[in-house]
Amino acid sequence: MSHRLDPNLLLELKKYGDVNVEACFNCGNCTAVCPLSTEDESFPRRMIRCVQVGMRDELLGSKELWTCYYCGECSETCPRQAEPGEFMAAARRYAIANYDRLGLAKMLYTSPALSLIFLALVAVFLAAFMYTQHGPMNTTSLALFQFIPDELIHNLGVAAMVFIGLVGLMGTVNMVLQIARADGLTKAAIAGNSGIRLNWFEALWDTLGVEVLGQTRYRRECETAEERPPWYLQKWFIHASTMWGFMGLLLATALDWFLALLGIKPTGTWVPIWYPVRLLGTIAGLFLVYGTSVAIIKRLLKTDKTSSHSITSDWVFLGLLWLSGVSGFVLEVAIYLPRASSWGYWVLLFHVSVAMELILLAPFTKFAHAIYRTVALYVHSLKPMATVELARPAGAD
Amino acid sequence: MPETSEIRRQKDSQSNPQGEEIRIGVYTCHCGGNISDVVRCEKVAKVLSEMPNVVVSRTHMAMCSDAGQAMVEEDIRERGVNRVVIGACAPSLHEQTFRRTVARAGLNPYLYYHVCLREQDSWVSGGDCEGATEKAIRLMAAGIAKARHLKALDPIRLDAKQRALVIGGGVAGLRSAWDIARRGIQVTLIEKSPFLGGRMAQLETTFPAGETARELLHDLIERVLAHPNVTVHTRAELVGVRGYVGDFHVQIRRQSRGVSDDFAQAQAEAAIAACPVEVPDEFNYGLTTRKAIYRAYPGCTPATPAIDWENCTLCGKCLQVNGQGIDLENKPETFEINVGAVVVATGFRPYEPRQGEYGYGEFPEVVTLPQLIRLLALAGESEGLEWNGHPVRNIAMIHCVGSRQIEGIHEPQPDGQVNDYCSRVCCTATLHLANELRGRFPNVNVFDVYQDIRTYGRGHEDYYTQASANMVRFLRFHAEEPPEVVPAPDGDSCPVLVKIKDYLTWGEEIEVPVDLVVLAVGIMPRPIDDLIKMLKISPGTDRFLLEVHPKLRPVETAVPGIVLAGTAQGPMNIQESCAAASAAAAKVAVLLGQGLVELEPFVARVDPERCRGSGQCVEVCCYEDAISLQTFSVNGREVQRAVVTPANCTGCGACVSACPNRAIDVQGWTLEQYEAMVDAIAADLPASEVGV
Repeated sequence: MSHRLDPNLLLELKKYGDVNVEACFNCGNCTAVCPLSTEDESFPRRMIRCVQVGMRDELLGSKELWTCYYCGECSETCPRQAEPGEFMAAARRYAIANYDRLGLAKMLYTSPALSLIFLALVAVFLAAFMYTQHGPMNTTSLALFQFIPDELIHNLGVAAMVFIGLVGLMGTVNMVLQIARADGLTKAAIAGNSGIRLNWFEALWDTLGVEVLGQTRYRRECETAEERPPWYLQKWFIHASTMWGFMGLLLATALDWFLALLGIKPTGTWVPIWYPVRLLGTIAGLFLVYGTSVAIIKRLLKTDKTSSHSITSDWVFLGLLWLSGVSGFVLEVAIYLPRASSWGYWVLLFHVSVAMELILLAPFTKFAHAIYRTVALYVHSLKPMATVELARPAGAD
Repeated sequence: MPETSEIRRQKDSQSNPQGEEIRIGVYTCHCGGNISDVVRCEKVAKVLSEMPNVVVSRTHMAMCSDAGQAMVEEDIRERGVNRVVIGACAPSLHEQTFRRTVARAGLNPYLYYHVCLREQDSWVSGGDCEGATEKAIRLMAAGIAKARHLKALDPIRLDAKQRALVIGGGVAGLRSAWDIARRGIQVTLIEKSPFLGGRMAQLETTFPAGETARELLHDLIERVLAHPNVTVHTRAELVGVRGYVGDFHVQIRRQSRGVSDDFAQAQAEAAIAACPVEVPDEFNYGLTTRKAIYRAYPGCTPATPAIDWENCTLCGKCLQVNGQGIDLENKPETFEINVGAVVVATGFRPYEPRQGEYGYGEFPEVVTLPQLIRLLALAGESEGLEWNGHPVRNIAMIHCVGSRQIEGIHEPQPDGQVNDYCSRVCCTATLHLANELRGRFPNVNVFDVYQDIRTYGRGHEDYYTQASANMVRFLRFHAEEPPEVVPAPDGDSCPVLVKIKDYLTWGEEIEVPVDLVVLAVGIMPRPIDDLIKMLKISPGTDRFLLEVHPKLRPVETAVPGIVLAGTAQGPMNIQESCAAASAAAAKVAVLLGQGLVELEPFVARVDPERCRGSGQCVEVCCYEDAISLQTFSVNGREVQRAVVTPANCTGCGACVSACPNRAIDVQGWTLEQYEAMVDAIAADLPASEVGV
C-alpha cells in the first residue's frame, strides 16, 4: 500500500506540544532503549517517522501511542535532543483531538487561553445551574443535600456519564477503525470467526487486571531510572495512586447511591468515619490527593524528563483532580465539625461543580487517555488463540 | 669455458677511461624479512663479495633506514667506493632515495644501480629458498656488471620561458593566474567564452560561509585584470602546441568580440534591445532567452557586450542604434606565444539528465539544481515561489542524479560509460538550497530524497543540522530502487507525485505530492578531447584529467610542465578548486622560478662518428621533434647526421634498434651495459655457489 504524504502533519502536531522531531535523524537509539519496544511493536521512532514525513493514518492507527507510559528514557538517550518522549505525549493529544469529531478536544489543546475561559465558564454554569435549584441552608446541622438536592446531583451525574459514554464510544470506534486500517485488519480478524477464536476474556483480564489496576508494565518495565527513588516517589506509584484514588472515589459515590436506592442509607445520612463506604471514600481521597500533589510538585520542579514539559492541558487535568480531592476533604472536615458552618455549603457547590466538569469533559481532556489507553491495551492483548490450528496445512485432515 | 670466462674477467676488471679504478659497493637488503625470509641474504653477499671490482658487500635489515643509508655514505667516503648497487624493493619505491644517498656522499647520482629483489624475486618465488637465492645472486651479478659500465650523467637542463598559459577563465584559472603573476611570472589567460567567471558566476550564495559568488569573483577578476603580469584573451582557444616543458609554443585562435572596448556603455542596452534574435540563455540554463548581442549577466566582466556569431543574423539593427564600435564581421586571428608551463583549468559541465530520467524533459515541473539556483535568482525578492505559472508549495530534491551510477541499474552515457563517482558538491549544495528555500519561502515544504548525505567538508554538516531544524523532510532510497516521478491523477492538488520506497520508513512506498522536482545533478568533465590530444595529457577512467600521483603529485600531469587546476581534474567545490589552482600555480612557480628545468638524462644520444645519416631513426621515432637529421660539415663535405632534442626524447629506445650502425644509445641504458648484464645473468656461478 502506498502512503500519500501530508506535508502539514508535522506543523499541525507542533500545536499540541513541545515537538522537536524535525531534529531526529532516524538513528533508532530511542527504539533501542525503549523497554516496551519489541520486534513487532517498534516505537517511538516509528511514530516519529510517520510525523516527519506526514503519514497521518499510520500515526492515528498506532496503538503503540497508548501503550507508552512516558518513562522518558528515549528523551534522555536521544543524541539530537528531539525529545521523543514528549513527542509521544503530543501525539496522544493529537490523537485524542482526532478521535473526537466534535472538535472540542482540538480547541482545548491548541488554544490555552480559550480553553481556560471555556473551562471556567462550564464550571460557573454548572455551579449556577445547581444554585438555581438550591434549598435552605440549615444552620443548626450541616444538611448538605437540603441545600443542593441529591436527586439533582445524581441525575446530573447520570446525564454526564451517558454523555461521556456516547462520546467515548464514538472516539473508541474511530480509534479502532484507524488501528484496523493501519494494521490491515479485517472485521473478521477483530471480531473473530469460526476459524479464529480470540482470547477476549484473557485480553480483558490482561488489560483491566494486570495493566490498568496492576500497572504491571509501568511498574516492572517502564521504571527505568538508574537510581530508583523510594517506591512512594516512583512514577508508576504516583500514577497508580491517582488512578486508584479516583476509581475508589467513583466506586464510593456509586455505592452511596446504590445504598440510597436500596433504602439502606438515604443520601446525606450522617455516618461515622469507619462506615465502610465513607472509609473507602476517605482512603481513596488520600490516594488521589497524594498522587496529584506529588505530580504537581514534580511538574513545578521539573524533576525529570517526564515532568519537564507541561502544557495547559496537563495543568488543567491535574488541577481539576486535585481540587476535587482537596475540596472533598474540606467537605468531610465540615461534616465532622461539631457545629454546622455556612462555608460547608459553598464547598459542596464548588466540589460538585469541579468534579462534574472533570467527568463531563473527560473525553476531550487528558482524562481521555483512560479510555484510549485501555482500548489500545485491549487490542494489544488480543491474540488469536487458535494459532496451532491455523498453522495446520489445509489438507492435513 | 674457462678461457672465455677468464678473458672476460680480465676485460671486466678494467679501469674507466679516466684511469680511475672501479670500486663497487654491493648491498643486499633484508627488507625486514620481505626478502630475507626467502633469500639467504648473507650467502648472496658472500658470493658477490668475491666478484671482480666488488670492494664491499654487505647486508642490512632495511637499507632505506637512516643507518642503511649512512653505511653506504661511509663506504663511499672512507673506502673509496665509486659505484653502488643495492638489491632491495622495486626501484619505483626507493631508487630516488638511494640516488640522493649516493649524491650526499659526493658521488654522481647516476653511478647507482637498483636491483629489485623483492617484487621480482622473494615475493614471487613461492618459498623456494634455494632458487630464490640463486636468482638473487644472478640479478645482483647483472647489476654489478652494469655498474662496471656506469658513467656519470648530468640531468638535462633547459631554459624555462618566464610565462605561463592558463586555459580557462573560471575561478580556478583566475586564482591560478593571480598566484603565478604575483610570483613575478608572466601569465596569459585564455577563456573560450566572451566573459570571465565560469560556472561560479552562475551561483548565488555559496557554502560554507554564505558569501555571494559574484562578489567574490568580481574581486578576483578585478585583481587579475589589474595585474601588470597578466594578459587575458576572451573568446580564445588553444589550437596547437609544440615544444616541451620550459619552452612550449602554443597557438591561440581568438574570435572577434564584435563590439569594441570603447563602445559607449550607455548605448549598449539600446543596442541589445534592438537585436531581434532570441536564443536560450545558457547562463540561466535555458530558463530565459537572450539576444545575439549580449552580456552574460548584469555586472559581468568584461562589461562590453559580445556578439554571438553562431546566432547573429547580421541584420544590422544594433548598428542602427549606434554603429560606432560595433563591427559585424568576425575576424578570427591566430597567434603564437611561447610559454614555459601550461595550467589546464577547463572546468566542468553539469550532468544533463537524459530524456525521461526522473521525468526530466517529460514534465515541466522537473528541473535541475543549477536551474533552481537561477530560478531563485530570477525570482528576486518576490514573496512566493512560482513555477510554470503555479505557486510552489511542495518541492522534492533528488540527490545523486548522474553520480554514483551503477552499471546494470543506470543507463550509460552516450559514450557507454556510467558516472560511478560521487560528485561531492551536490549534497551540501542541495541542503544549502533547501535551507534557502525554507528561509525565503516558509510555506514551501521541502522533501530531500537521498541515498547518503555526504556533507564532508568543514562546516558542511551544519547545513544538514540546519536543514533538519528547518523541517526539511529526509527520505532515503536504495540505488537499486530509485524514486519515480509520475503524473498525479486528474484533479489532484499537485501536478506530479514522487514515489519512493523510503527505507527510513521501514521500506514503505510513499507518495509525495509536489509542485517542483529538483534534480541534484552531478559534475561532468567538459568535452575537451581536442585539448587532451594537443597537450598529450590523459584522462582517467572517469574522463576527468589524470594527475601523476593522487597523493604525492596531485596537480601535475604525466607531461612535464602541464599542471591541472580545479574541476577539470574531478568534482571539487570552490574552496577545493582554489586550493588546487594555488597548488598548480606553486608548481608552475617552482618549475619556472629557477629559470631552468631539470629532466632525467635517460635520453637517446647519437655518436656522430658512427652515424651515417641513414635517417631510419627519424622514421621510427614516435615523438615530435625528438630526433632529426641536420646538416654538418665534415672535412669540407656536407653530411646529414642525426641529432636528438633531449627535452622531447622519452628514452624509449626505438631509434637504438633501428640504427644500422649502432650509433645511438640511450644514456644510462646503453647496449654495452645490457650486454654485460645478459652475460652476467647467463654466466656460470662461481664454484662456491655450485651445488647449493
